[in-house]
Amino acid sequence: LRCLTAERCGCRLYADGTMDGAPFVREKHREFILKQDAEKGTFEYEMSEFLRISGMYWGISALEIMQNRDNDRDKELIDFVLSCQHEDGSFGGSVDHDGHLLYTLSAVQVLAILDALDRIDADRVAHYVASLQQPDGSFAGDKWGEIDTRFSYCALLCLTILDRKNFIDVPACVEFVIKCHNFDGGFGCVPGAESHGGQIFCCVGALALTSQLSRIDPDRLGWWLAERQTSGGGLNGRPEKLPDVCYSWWVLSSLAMIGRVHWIDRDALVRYILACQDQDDGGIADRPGDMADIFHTFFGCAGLSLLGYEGMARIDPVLALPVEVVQRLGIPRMYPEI
Amino acid sequence: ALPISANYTAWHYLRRCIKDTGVDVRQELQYVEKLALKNPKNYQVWFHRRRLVELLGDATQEKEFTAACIEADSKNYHAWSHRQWAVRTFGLWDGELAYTQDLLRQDPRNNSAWNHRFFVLTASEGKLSESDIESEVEFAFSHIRRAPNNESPWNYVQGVALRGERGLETLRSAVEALAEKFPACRFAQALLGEILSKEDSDESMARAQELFLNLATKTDTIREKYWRFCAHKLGERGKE
Repeated sequence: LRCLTAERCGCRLYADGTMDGAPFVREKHREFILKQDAEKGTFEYEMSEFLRISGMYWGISALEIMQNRDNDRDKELIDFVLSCQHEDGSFGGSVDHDGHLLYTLSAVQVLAILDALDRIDADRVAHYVASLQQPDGSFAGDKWGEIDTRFSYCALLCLTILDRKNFIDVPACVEFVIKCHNFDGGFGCVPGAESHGGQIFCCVGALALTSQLSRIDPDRLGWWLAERQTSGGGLNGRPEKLPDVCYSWWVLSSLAMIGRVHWIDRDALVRYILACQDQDDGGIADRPGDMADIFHTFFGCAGLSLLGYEGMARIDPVLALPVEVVQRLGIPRMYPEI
Repeated sequence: ALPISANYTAWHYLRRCIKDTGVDVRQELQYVEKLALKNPKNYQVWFHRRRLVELLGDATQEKEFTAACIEADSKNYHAWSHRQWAVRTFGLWDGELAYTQDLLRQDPRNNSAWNHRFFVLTASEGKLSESDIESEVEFAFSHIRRAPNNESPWNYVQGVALRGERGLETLRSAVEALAEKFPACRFAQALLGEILSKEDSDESMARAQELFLNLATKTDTIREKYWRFCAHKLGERGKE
């Protein structure tokens, strides 16, 4: 195991070839996350406005997992989320942005974490989600009709949090997901599309949320997922591709949902995630030495949590919410004990 | 170059403008082509393109267009997904097998191309003909012989064989030979182990166990827990 960026990422290589993971720089990550908001006016900030509400979910969740979040700004955060809502119950990515299922889910997740679900009309949100279901059971992302199994998961998760799964045709939703089950055991975005770690997370999540995991062979899928681990310890999303920290969530949570997290070499993956940190400025990147971003910071923290890394609060692999929040909401566990 | 917006709202307004003002859709297609090549991972560009093609009812440019994107980034998920959509929606199956063949000759590790080949092959419902299976299996093995530690053709060959009457058994002798020729190849050992574990004889089960333990301790130690699970599962079956 040769860490090519040993200097920057803080890994310690020993003469006998063994390696300590880099220290987890919790405080620096916190500063990095809080700093995101102060970047108003920068090009990156403006260009990412359309997904601001998802950015909030990633930042808030990462801080919760690191057990490092203050609640002094909660009112401001809640008000912002509510200001993104439309008449039809949907949420846009930011103020005055059109509603979309992705951002509706992020909004509901953020409000769940901040214990403010009572501030929205759950029926109205559920009606919006239900309106996106297609005759074949699939879900569009918005009224313009892009179909993707990501949206099947978003719909089910949103409705599970709001306890309104009965608003949609659940069996039809499941059948569409099953149609996306591929010859290699994985799932793609639509029937026939290539198996991909992110899509698998969404499909397995959808099956977990509907108690339909028995429809798939967990050993076959578990092997495909375990095969994502590369020699450096990191996980890729498809055969013969490079590892990326975000798969520490997509692939790992999928394994957790089918009770096979232990098929991954835990220590090797922990070392990889730790190596993806920016030791100087905080945040986690996709790969060692690359620039950190809030998206990968969340997924790195979530991955470490699933691996039982010290000091991390537990995250629910199906709901992608802190277990504490899930328990508060009274939602039962839908995956085997990790 | 400025990164393109991923803002769903902005794209929606653009499409409304196109519809309402009677802009030349073909010109718009050309513009989108440039955008997609510069921003190949942007969901909205691809969806926009799809809407335009639907508006026109003409997908004749889509193969060339996706081929250009794939040339730049051979595993671009959106490009492949779009190509599948165009092929399936407009019945453009001709030439697709040859296309994947070319790409795989250039890069046998292109999992997207393997997936597309499987998609085209299995487009019609039901089992594949035995001769189709035979030729596809040989196609996969020819690439495996060139680069045995490439995961994709191993998944492909299993997928194809499972569509036939005899299942994985069709592959047995070829996989035995490959396991012997490439003793460090974990995929050969894994598949041989799987095939043997499905046979009813004590000898096959014992050999399969040996293979799994070899994978756990030598050839694929990062997945040690998985291989020990496989060995254990076999052991449990043996007791029954």
